[in-house]
Order: sequence, then structure tokens, then C-alpha cells
Amino acid sequence: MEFVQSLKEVILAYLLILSVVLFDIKNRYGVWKELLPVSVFSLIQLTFIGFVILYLTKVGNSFLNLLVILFMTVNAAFISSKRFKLKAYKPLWVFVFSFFAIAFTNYLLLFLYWLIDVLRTEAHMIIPFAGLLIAAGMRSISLFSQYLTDLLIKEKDILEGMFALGAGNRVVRNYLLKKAIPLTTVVIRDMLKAAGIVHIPGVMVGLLMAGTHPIVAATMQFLVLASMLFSMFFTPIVFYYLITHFRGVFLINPR
Amino acid sequence: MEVLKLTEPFLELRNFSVYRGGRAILTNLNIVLHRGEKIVIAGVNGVGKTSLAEAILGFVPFKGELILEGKPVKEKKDFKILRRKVGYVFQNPDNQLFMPTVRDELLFAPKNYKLPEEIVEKLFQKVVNTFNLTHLLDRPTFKLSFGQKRLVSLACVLTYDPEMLILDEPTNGLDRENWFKVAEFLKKSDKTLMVITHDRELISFLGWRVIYLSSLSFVTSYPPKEELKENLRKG
Repeated sequence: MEFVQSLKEVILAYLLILSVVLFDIKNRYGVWKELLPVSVFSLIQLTFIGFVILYLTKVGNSFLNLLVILFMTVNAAFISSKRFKLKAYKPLWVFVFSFFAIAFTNYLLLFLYWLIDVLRTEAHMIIPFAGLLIAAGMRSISLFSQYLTDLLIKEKDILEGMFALGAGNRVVRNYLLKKAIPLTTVVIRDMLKAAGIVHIPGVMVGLLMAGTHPIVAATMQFLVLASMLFSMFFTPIVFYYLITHFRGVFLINPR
Repeated sequence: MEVLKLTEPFLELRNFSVYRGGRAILTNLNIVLHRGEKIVIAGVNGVGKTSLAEAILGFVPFKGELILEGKPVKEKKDFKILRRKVGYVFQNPDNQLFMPTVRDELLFAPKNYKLPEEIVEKLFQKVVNTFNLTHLLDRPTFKLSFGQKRLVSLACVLTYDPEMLILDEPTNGLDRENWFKVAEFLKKSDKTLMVITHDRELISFLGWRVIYLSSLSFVTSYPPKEELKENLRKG
């Protein structure tokens, strides 16, 4: 019975993706090429991690859990670094700095959770939470990269003007961050605003269904949203700071 | 010794080719600019006058040699030194106005170059008086008229006192009064100057050597360089 239900869900999911792909092909938006393989891998990855979490919960080895989180971070860094289009920076550096930014920001959050006893290192607890935060960091770097490229094209003349007036990397970096970070964090800021009045976030629903008191569920959800804000705010800042500190600030067509 | 000092090149372009989108738009330019020398770069629209200036500043790729005070300019750090010595006034003043007020704008470059406060104060007052900017100091830059923006963009380069100025169409869009203000300033200035313009009135007002860039990158110059050297020797 459960299998039939899952099959229905998969069919519906693929119908939804197919509708997006068909509309995309017809209108030439250009995302279908990425969507087709992703839609296949996504389901496989989710199924795989489900079994992994189940296995790790049974084994109860914290070290293995941390290895899985490290693996997730590497993947997140790889995916987000692919979105960074500036040729002036070598892909390897982008990947390395992306990895450090995601790791630094989100491991800090996981450590704080652990410190105040919100989270234990058991697989079924730490892995989904780590995934939530690491994904937020990954998304923020991807978004930031897109906005940064747009800014560098749109404001090329102003940035040259700044350099011409002696502005160093720090001044130009701050200018770019000031413009890009509000855009990068708009989704999570809207989520914070809309929490409880537009959408009831997943963690809270799960806790409520498990019989948790609404106040406890709400505070937990609030902490998760605040952590996502932290992750989406600081991950791109750390990333851009690292890459510009070690490799310099480059315009689109620098010498 | 004095003659040598006068004729020592400040900026040299040797076999200098400028590229835009991977295509050479100016090829094999050879320009020597001596300390205190003032030249006009003229030419039709789109010939690459602005690109030439941007290449000198390191914003546009080039091939060939760029030499500042006898030293080749190649690396990022060399361009940093060049930008300290060569101020650039953009064709579009909006490119240089990104601070909240005119005062912040004027102090942006001195702050970047960490100039001593007493020198900044002196330069600031001088520049404000030269262009009558006192009443504009606390005004947001986006509220300025085009002519005012043009003056502020020139002023904010002068507040860090570079040895040379490259001015791209400095009189473009100015009314008569401000036109004279800028033209008089250029004429009286003791800095090394490169003025990019196709304002014929300004060219004849200044009476400097003109380098004319044509679509074939053929460069003509008058008065001839030898004559200029002679003038410099005469003092």
C-alpha cells in the first residue's frame, strides 16, 4: 500500500517537472538541460540518504555522522562554485573558498546547537539539520554569485571610478557586498516575515504532529529560521571575503 | 641638469595597442608625455579615445609598453601606483559619484590614499574655492545638476593632488560659465594634462599639442615634438 502511494507521488512529481521542462523548451528559458538529470539524481540521492540515515542511526557512530556532513559540505561547495561565473578566479579556488565559507558558518551553528543541547550528534538529528543549514549556505553563495556578476556588469563604470580614486579591495568589496547581500537574503527575510502568517515551516509541523507543545515547536522553528538567516547572510560574506582577500577583487574584464 | 629634468618623460606609450572584446581598436600608438606637458587627444566618436584612457588606467586590456617615470607598468600593484599619480576624470561624472554627499565624495580619494589631515584640509579648501562648491558640500550627489556633477567629479580627483590628470570630455554638457571655469582651470594648471575632447572651441582655447586619433589609428601631432621640447627648454 505504501509502495503504491510512493509511486503516485513519484509520478506526480515527474509530471510537475515535465510540465516545467516542456514550458521551458517551448519558451527557450534554458533551464531544462539542467533539470532533466537533476530530477533523476535528486530522487536517487534522497532515497540513498534516507537509507544512510537509517543505517547510521542503527550504528550510532558520531564520527561517521560527521563524515556524512563533510561529504554534504563538499557537494554543496561543488554545486555553488559552479554558479560562480567570473573567469578571473580559478574554479579550484572558488571551490576551496566556497567549501571553507559553508563549513565555517554552518559548523559554527551546529556547534552552538550542540552547546545549548538543542542537537545531539545522532544521525537522525544532526544530518537533517546540517543539511538544512548547508543547503542554505549553498543557495546563498549561488544567489550571491549571480547578483555579483550582474553588479559587476551593471556597475562596471562606477567600480572603475572607485579604483581610479584609489579605492582598495576592501572598499570595493564592501560596496559590492552592500549591494548584493540584501538581494541574497531577500528570500529568508521574507520567510521570517511570513512565518506563521503565510507558511508554517516544516520543522514546526513535524514537531506539532509529534505532539510537541506549540510554544516549544515555535521556538525551535524560530531558531531554525534565525540560523538560516545567519547562514544565508554570513556564508556569502565569508566566501567573498576569502576569495577577494587571497585572490583580489576583479572586475569583469580585468588586467 | 635643469634641461634634463624638464624633458624627462613622465608617461610613455610604446607600440601601445588597445583591445575591446578581444579586438584591437587602437594599434601601435607611441606617445611620450613629459612632466608638465599638456596634450589634447582628439578624434571622431568611437575611435577609442576613452578606451585609450581606460587602458592607461588598467581597466581595458592592452599590448605594448606603458611606462611611468621610466618604470614599466604591468602588474596590479604598478597600476595602483599609476592611479595615485595619474588622476582620471571620467566622461560620465556619475561614474565617480557614489558617496552620499559632495563632501564625502571630495574626501573619498584622500581617505583611500591616507593623506595627512592638514594636507587634505588644504587641498579640500583650495578645490572648493576653485570651483565654488561651498554651497554644495552637504548636498546629496544624486541631486546635483549635470554641470555641478561634472565640476564635483573634477574636484574629487584634485583633492588627492595627482601629478597628472586625464580628463575625458571635461567640458561636455557644461553651460558657458562652467565651461570657462573648467577651461581656465586647465589652462592655468601646472599639472601634466591629457585632455580627451572633440570640443573644438576648447582645443583652440587651450592651444596645446593635439594628438588626433583616426579610425586607422594614424596619429598626427602638432606642434611637433621638437618644437615643444624647445619651448620647454626655453622655460
